[in-house]
Amino acid sequence: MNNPKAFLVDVSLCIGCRACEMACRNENLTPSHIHWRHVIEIEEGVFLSMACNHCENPECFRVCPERAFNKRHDGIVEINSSLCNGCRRCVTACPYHAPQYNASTNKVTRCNMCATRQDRGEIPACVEACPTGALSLILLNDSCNSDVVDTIQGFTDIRLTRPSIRFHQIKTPKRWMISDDEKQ
Amino acid sequence: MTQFRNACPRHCYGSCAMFSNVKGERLIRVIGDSKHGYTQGSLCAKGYSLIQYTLDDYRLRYPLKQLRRGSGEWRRISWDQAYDIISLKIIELNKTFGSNKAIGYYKGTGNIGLLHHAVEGMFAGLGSCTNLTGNICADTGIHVLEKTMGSFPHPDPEDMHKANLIVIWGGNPTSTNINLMRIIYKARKDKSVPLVVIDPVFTNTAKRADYYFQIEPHSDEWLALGIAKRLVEVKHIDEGFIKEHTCGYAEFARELDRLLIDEVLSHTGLSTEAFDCLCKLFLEHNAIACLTGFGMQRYRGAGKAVNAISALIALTGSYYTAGGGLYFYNKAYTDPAEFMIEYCKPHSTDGEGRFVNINTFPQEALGLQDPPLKMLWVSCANPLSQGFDLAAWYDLFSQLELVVCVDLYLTKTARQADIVLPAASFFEEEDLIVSFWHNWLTLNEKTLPSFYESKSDLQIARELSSYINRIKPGFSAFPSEMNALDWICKFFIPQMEDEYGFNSIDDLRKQSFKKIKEPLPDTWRYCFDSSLLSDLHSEISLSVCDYPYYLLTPQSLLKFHSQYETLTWLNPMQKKMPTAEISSHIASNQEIRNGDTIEVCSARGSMLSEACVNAKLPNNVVYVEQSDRFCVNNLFGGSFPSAESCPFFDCKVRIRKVSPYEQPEGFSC
Amino acid sequence: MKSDNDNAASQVTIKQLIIASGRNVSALTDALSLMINSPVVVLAADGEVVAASPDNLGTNGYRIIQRKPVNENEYTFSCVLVGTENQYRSFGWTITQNEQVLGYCLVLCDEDSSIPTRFNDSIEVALSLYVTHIKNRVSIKQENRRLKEAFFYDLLFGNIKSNSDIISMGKIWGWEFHHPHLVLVVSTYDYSTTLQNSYSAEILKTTVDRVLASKWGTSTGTTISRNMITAVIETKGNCKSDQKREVIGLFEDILKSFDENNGISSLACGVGQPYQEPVDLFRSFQEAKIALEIGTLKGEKISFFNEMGLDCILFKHDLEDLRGYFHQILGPLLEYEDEKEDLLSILESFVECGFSVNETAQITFLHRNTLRYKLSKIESILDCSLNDMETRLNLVAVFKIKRLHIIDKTI
Repeated sequence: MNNPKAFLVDVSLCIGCRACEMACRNENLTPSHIHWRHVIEIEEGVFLSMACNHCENPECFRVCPERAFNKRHDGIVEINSSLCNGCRRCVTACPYHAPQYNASTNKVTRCNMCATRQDRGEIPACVEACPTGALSLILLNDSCNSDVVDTIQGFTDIRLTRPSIRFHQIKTPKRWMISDDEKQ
Repeated sequence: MTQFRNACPRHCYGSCAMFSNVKGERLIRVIGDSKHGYTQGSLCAKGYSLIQYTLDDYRLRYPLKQLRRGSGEWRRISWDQAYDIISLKIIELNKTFGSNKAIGYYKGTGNIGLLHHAVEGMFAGLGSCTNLTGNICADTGIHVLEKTMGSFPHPDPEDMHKANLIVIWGGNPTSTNINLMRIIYKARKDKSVPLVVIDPVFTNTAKRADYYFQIEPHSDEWLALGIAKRLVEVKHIDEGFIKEHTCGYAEFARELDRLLIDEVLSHTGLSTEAFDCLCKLFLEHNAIACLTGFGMQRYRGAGKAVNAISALIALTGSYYTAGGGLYFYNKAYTDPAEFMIEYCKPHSTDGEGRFVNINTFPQEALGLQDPPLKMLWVSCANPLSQGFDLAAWYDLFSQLELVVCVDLYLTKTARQADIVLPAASFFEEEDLIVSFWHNWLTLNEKTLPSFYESKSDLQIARELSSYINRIKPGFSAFPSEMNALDWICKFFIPQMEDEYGFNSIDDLRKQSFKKIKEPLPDTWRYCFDSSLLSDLHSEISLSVCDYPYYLLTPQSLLKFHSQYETLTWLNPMQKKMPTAEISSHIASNQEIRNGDTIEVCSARGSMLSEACVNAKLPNNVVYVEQSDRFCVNNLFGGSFPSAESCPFFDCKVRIRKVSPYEQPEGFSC
Repeated sequence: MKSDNDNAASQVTIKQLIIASGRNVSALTDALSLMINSPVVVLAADGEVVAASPDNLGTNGYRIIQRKPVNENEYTFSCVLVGTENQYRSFGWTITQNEQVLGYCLVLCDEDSSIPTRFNDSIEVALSLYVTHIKNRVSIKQENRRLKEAFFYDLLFGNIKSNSDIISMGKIWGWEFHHPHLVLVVSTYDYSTTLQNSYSAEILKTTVDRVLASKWGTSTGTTISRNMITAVIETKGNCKSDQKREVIGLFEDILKSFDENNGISSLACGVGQPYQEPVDLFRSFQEAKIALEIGTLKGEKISFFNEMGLDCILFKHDLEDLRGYFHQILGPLLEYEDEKEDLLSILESFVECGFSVNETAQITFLHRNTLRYKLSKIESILDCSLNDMETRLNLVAVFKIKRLHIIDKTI
């Protein structure tokens, strides 16, 4: 049986340093306005590094009139740029903003989980770059672990698409603020 | 594809070792070196953007001459023309004043490679000129700690996880030292070591802390002494350590007695509950690793804060514990450079020359007489953007007959120079990088051919020195025959091989090397400085004047001071105006909303910016990023105690909301 | 004398057994049956018939019951062999290799008879010959299944971009992809967890396979993905309603069959649209999963993607917008809820029953007059008429939103 790969994110470890984002560019040489991977602050103090989630039920995939997508047996969703006609239906269909439209080439590109690196037995560039281990890779069928959950507060609805991303639970730290906001 | 070994030369905690992959004379990828003990193969966001850096369109390609300073009328010239202009001016000034003292240089830390000390070497080769002293970042702490800790021992940051409490005081490693976070997390994972962050700004590090204490800016010494008092009061101090390894404790304790906790609370803004919690953490742990960041050292008299924290750590007896101690700055690293300067000096010198401190450079240089300073060479620095007293800098420039600026970009400073020389990036030169923080040394190999006509500081020093000597033989003693590999192999390797355990450049090409660790000697003493407390009491001035807010401008994540600002991977240049974050207190008092244009004014200058309300800032804080494009430093200035780094955060401002009708068209800063 | 003869006979037979085994497993079984003069059935570990002699014994699978060891030898037993129509008393030998059970060799015999000990050596030889046959069979089956699943995966995720490739590859397994097909997925209600247990997933797959085989003929295929069974079936009906009826019938059979086997009845099914070209079947697969997910939210057992246009739009629409719409339509009633009159649920039932008073009265157990009174109260609270088409449309939509659970926190 196939055992798809997924990103595992521990937001308690993510320091928002964006090394993953730039490591992705360093690897894939994407132009400045194309964000295959993006670090966002989903809540005060909670950073989430996200790329394509290589969903179990990819919507990008279903809506593509050119049938440009395919899903490898290890779960990686790929787009065949030569088939893409730049219609951008996948861009609107994806709830995670993974497909990125490049106006100068009239093509959509997106994270491919560093498929060629993985074929060489290496881990994706973003995972390798993460200095704190907040970003890692797991096999979905092996993730029946109580520490690992399907979603966290602030993450986009995972229904329908069933993204291949898993999380560690968030722990709450102790903070002593003096700003007005906290005193209220 | 060829692979080279490189090391990031930014004045940064990381000094990351990396490999670069090159294909057809183009950099196609950088990879962290996983065998480097401190960085373990991670690079930061800036590091991973270096492909763009090497090919940046904004980089300078040819030597340029400006027809009239500040006019923006540039002419491309050849290197020989540039050397000719500079050499003639140097010889002329030497003739006029009978020495080279009218000639000075300002060498910053834009590149900390050992071979960049060729700039100092080049001027040392001229004999008596106007030289530079001081440490731009760390002087405040260094001078204080020399008094209390002597040749203070810097613990190995790779051991920090062995401590049982980690305190980050006025620092933000998530932006400036990402690899340290891995070590902190290791401590948390292995032994549940809590991370305590003390900072006025709710930084990303604060967001990751187990305990975050938000305090008023410039109240660090109060807090450190307050905790110290609590420790002494409840007699929870390491008496053995104090007896055997300290002096001046009795007097220090007596002075502490006069400190009132209420004062501590009112200065820091902490609640009693928060203060008790923090004290408890110090009471319950005995191997405390405390990082005194540079943020808390950017106020006038901030030496007192560093002093007080070092005393607090002494009370806990952490200095001899595994992982415990004060983490600040690995001072010993500059030594090889000093040897290099010494090596370049002429044997028979006509006097020692004179020295100007890097932190007070423009003011001191303006005051120089007999002769006044007439020529300035700027390298690895952008003082007209990053300097403390920009008015003094402009005054100084106006008295100079020749300003030469070596840089990769047409910075604010370069724009005011007469001659601008294009500098090589570190991929285009050999160098040795030694960290001021961890104990590793890494070779930087020449990876790419020169970018157009750019040259390294060393090459410029060699060529200019021999050019002068051609005009006037024997004028410069700089050993211009030595190329980079000569310097590394014949000069630095023999000096450093025992300390680091390598033998040849081939060793250095294979890996980074770690300095062999010296344990803290048994004879080491900590000296409590009780004058700290008497000074403290003489300085209560809570003047709510015309400028009620602190302007904080700490290091940002995707720039390095003003460096890397032009790389669109990191900083998409969409902004028309800088952003100023203001507290919700300021916002509600002055009815400012996100996106409003505001004017941030200090007694010295002002800047327009776009307001962004940050509810997590203390009431009296305004937060602006450093930048070359939107230079904020014209708000800074004024005098400060000698032997301190510039008090960049000691800047009080007021905020004025600008109505859309009065905004000047075509805003420029 | 006798024992010599026996010995000679069995030596010849052993030789024959080996020669027969060289031909194939049926020949071996025939030879064995001939030798001991009794019918022989050889089963794989999963109960499937590997070979039987005579042939007519081999049509169906068997279960072994009432198993009792013979002579304290754990590999020899007597038992009852239960087929679909008949049962037989038998003697059995476990076919093992390295402690691993590969299958069973069963000799059918009468109640009281036993297998003469003189055949022991021959049977031992036969057992060791079966080891090789069964192992070959297992590995061929596994390889076949692996190839089939790989093909299925590629088909369902659109990895094969040419119709003719799909058609020719489908032929290997007897599928006729030049006919229109659709995809349906079957899972338990609790989508994410229950079927993690691969055992129950296997049972479900076997059930679905069996139902499909008996009802649909050959041109079907099933696969297990992580948490559901996916079936690709040929659409036979000519119009949409025919197709729907067929699929519902099929699912009902699956439910019935699965009930019998397992006792888990909470199955749900999602059905994608039929596609003429097999390169588009991946769309049908994605649609089936969407239908399953949205259908599950609505509490429906079987959902057709081409019937859930509005649901699908409402499900994916911006949450804040939906929240606004919901409160715009039902706001006054939601505030009224403080009075504990369950007007909201009455209204919901009324909408569900197609705005029929009679039907609503029945399912809410209210008297029609009471219901009418309540409905008029609702009309006055909402300040609208429940006969108005526009109002009805809005009510259908907001109750769809409510059932899709997307704004449950604020309701």
